[in-house]
Amino acid sequence: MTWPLRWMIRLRPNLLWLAAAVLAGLLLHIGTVLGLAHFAPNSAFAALANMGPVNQMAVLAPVTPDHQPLPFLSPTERYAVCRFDVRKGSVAVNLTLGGDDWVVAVYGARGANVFALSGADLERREVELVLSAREQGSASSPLPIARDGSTTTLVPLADRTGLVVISAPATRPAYAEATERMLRDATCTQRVRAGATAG
Amino acid sequence: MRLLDSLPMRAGRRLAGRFAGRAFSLAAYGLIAAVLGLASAWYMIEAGSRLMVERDGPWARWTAAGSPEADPYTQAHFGRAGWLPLVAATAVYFTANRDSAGEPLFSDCDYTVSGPAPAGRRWTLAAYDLNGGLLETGAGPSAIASDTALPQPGGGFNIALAQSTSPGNWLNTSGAARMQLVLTLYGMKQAAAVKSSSAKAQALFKIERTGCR
Repeated sequence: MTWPLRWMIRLRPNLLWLAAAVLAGLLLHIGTVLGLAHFAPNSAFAALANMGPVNQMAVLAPVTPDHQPLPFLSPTERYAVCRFDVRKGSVAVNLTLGGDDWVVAVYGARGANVFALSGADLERREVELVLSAREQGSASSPLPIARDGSTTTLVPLADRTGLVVISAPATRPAYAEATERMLRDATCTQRVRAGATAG
Repeated sequence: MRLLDSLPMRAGRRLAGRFAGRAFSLAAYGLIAAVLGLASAWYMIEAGSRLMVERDGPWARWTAAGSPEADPYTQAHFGRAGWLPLVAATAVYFTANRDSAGEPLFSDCDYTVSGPAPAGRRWTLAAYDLNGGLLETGAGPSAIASDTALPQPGGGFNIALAQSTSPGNWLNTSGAARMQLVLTLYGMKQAAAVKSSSAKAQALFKIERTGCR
């Protein structure tokens, strides 16, 4: 009898070892899932790093098979994206939702959709979002929020970085120019806190 | 003298054999642990379970997609793909990588996607590879939306997925690889309808293979 066969026979089910293997498998399962959930290999924030500086809105070119900055983007939509970083102060996002199917969404660093608003949710289409880290939203650091009739929403964030994504239907060529213009008019601006230094 | 020489040798051999046996046992049980842990993690992240994924024919929907309170499997599923889904209050996503007969979808096969218009304000349908990349297409579209799709005379929609031009609603496919479809329903009403107990009664598109190359 050859030695591997002899050892395989000797490897009779040992309940203690089997239980240890199952426990180790369970730990590996939990580690893999949590690892992927928290350190996503295809982080959208990293994937869009070359789109321009942080806290600045960038209009993405129409999505095609040759130009698809992120997986699962749809060619039926046009997108504008702002990579925000609220470590140095809050970030204001101003835009006009051009129709019921326009959507502005705020994502945390790990891709959770912490806030979303569609044109159908609003009577007025002018939107201002003020993104801030949770502790910055306290009364001790008031934010200069414009309340001139537009819809201003304070979005407190657990993550300091993330993405704002504006999506607009792009299926009707007649509206293409207006859609592009409205996306280009959207802004993403950092409001530096008093006392904070740039750089 | 011969006996004395062979005793330590025999003891050494026995010790080495016992050590190798232990190492083999450890490796075998380690392999069991690795296969158990990684295979179950892969399955749960790819396919999910009934606790987090609703299935309706060939379509699957991760119910907590996009939610900050999503379970780790849902987070890992979308994080691994690099997909940024909206919360269900704004949009719901159905994915299908098999047809209604349960066969895998291939981009070199032709399909008909048909059924009543999904309830709600707007829907879009797009074809991707299994990594979420749009299929390379020629002149044809790789996605279609309710605002431009032509309805059937009796209501509902009929969409052809084919590599060659097709009359009516057409999604251009290409290549010869596995693919998946993503049906997105926009609007709070759709989300509410899907969330309700009547979700199963809401008919989604059927996916039927009409031929392969």
